[in-house]
Amino acid sequence: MIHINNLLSGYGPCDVIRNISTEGKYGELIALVGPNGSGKSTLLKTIAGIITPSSGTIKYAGENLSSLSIRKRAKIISYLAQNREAYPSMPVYEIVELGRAPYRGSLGKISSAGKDIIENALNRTKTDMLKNRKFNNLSGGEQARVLLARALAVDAPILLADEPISALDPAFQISMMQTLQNEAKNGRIVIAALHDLSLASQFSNKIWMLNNGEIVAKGTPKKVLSAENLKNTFQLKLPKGGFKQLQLAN
Amino acid sequence: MIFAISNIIRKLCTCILLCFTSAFILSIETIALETKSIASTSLCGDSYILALAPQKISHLSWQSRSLLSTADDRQKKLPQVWNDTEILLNSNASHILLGSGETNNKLPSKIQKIELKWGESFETIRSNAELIINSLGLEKDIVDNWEERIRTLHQNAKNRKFKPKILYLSRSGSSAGLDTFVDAAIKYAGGVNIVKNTGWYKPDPEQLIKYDPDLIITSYFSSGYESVEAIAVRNKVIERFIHSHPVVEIEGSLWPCAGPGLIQASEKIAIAIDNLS
Amino acid sequence: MKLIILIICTLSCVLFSLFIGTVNLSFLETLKALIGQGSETNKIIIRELRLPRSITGAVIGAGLGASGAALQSYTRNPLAAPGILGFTACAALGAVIALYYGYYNWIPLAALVGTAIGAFLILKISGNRKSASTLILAGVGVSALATAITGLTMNFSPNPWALSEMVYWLMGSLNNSQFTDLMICAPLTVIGIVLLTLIGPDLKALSLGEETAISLGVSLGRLRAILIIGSALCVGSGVAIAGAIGFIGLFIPHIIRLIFGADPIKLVPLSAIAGAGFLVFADIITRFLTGPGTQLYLGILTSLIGVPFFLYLAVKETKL
Repeated sequence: MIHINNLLSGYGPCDVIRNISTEGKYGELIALVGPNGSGKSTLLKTIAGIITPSSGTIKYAGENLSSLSIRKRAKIISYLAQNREAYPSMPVYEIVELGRAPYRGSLGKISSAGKDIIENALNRTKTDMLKNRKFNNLSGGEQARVLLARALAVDAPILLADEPISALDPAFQISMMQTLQNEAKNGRIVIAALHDLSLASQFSNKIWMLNNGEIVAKGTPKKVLSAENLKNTFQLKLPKGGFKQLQLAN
Repeated sequence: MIFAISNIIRKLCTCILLCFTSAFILSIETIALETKSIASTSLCGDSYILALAPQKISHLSWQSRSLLSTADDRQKKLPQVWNDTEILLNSNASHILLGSGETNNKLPSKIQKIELKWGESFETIRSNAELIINSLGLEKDIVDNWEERIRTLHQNAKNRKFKPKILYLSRSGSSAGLDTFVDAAIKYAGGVNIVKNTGWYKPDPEQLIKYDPDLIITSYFSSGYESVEAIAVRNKVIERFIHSHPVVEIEGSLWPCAGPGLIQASEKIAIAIDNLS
Repeated sequence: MKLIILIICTLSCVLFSLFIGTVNLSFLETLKALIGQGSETNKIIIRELRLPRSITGAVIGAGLGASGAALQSYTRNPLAAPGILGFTACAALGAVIALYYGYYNWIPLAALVGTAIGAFLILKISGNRKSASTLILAGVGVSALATAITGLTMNFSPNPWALSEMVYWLMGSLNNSQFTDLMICAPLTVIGIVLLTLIGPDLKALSLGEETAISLGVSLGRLRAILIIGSALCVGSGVAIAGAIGFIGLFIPHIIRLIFGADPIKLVPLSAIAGAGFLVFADIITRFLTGPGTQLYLGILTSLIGVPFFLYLAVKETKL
């Protein structure tokens, strides 16, 4: 489990998130929702160790993450950034291989077990046939899947994804969400910041709703995505009965 | 009434006093102009006037206190000038000796300008000296003495059977080819310049060590400025090359240009040649 | 295979450079002199003038190539070069102060100290913000400051011609290379290249962006410190010996990237090898083009090649 207690974090003197106290369990896909500027990215970056919190604790398996070395933390948490960056001319395999960075030997040597994990990650994201293609020769959706494969190659118990489906077409969006759901089902804790509330409700086990840097609601999608919460957080007015789920065409 | 008269008298006295003061100042200036004094703006010019007219020097150049200056301790204390009109006007010198290549069209005509000519021969020394002598109205005996020394050098050189091959090397690894004043000094001393290129020439270290001179003249080794260019004093290969041949160091102060010191330099080279045999 | 060809090209340049110089020596004479036979003068020319010149050129070129590759990988900017981070200017400041105030033997140390001070300033100015653009801006600022202070110092130098001499020195030349210089320059450059090679994996992780790199266990602060120290060692020791030679660190990594790919783990050592060969090659050209008494400066030649390339890159807005 991951326990977050009274977290206060932000950039420089400004605190973006305050009083964050929550937890996540193995097997959960937790959707992090909220309007722009609510602190979703800040929360994910703080958990990943990219931002140092001003106060509060994040504990995993009883251990305070801030007491761990940067390398140890990298083995526990895999972070998929919102910006899809990579060398344009780098082949897909080499990009995914970067996921093994926390485990590499000198001069980047990867073990054979590590190579198996990479293959596995390529398979799970259906990017194995793209192995030798260069990054800039892929479509947007393919690039997103490749970078997800990279994040999976870390083989960390916690996977954080910051808006993994932004700017993707519906087919890719659903494919990505299915992969994230499978990762959770395989025993990981997956926390994904999402703007798409219908996909969040469809695929996630839990939702943390953020507004103005604080968690205003957490729980099952049905409970969190109530008309009142949506109105207060997103200024959305919906008919009675709450949020309607997205109907998928099978 | 009495007050008015005393007022007028007071004003009259003030006017008379002012007139006398102006006349006095004017006369001092005239006297000053008639007493000749010379200021030099260059190291080369310094060497000429220190030799020709040391009593008439009011100012020496901005390099008069450097390692290359031939000024003595007293002369080094003289104020310094350079080719700047304000500085030159403030010097109140009657004559300004400008270095070769220097011009100044802003000086008033009452100040006599003498412009040194750059040259690469002993002839240059005579013509520049004559410019100064004529301008200051000096006697020619010093120049006659120089001529005598040059003739003696030339004669001794002719009489000497052995004509050694001589290489000149400055601190920066530069040499002097044909038609340079160093070449002239070597010739008059009775040597042959080993460098056959014309003009001031900087040989590559490879070319340098290919020369096989009988005598190496070094200059500015003990009296040069520290510089990125000072390779002859720091390159180990060149150092070994120099010390594997007879060497004579001629102080840089003797020949920053073709000036009076060139004669002394040539005489020193002649002594070194005599010491070879 | 490509690697073997690269190494052969570099070694060939170094070997070929022994046969080129202002004095015409035949192939046989050169070979003889190299193995210690033949006339004394020829032996001196080959073993004490040309050989240290070629090796020094190779060492400096290697340092410049490696530091350029590392800097471009770190900044993810193809226009990055050792000059832009101010190392060349700071090294030159240290060297020039030592030289003109009479401490010739302290030039290499002074150049390194100058680079270290510049690196410290860059770290201070860019502060806790670890982004590449901040680093570049800090470098540009420090470079300008170092150049200004150098000019000011030269105004007060005892040597009245210091400023004009410095212009020539800053054009870069291997003309006066000696083994004593090499004994200082080579170990420092080798350490620098080793450090830059060791951060190759971290630089590769950085290709995914700074945030992802941190999440993968890369300490950006440590990476930047090693990058600066490694580059300072490579560039500082080179400038101390040969003046400012520019643009090698700019275009060599580009050529290597085209042939071998962008992976920094390979890019840094390969750029070192290519940089070594290229600088020796450029020096060979200067030896061909140098006329009697007039020297073509190495830095001028590398600029003539490098500046059009730089402009081409700027116009094309090439991405890594």
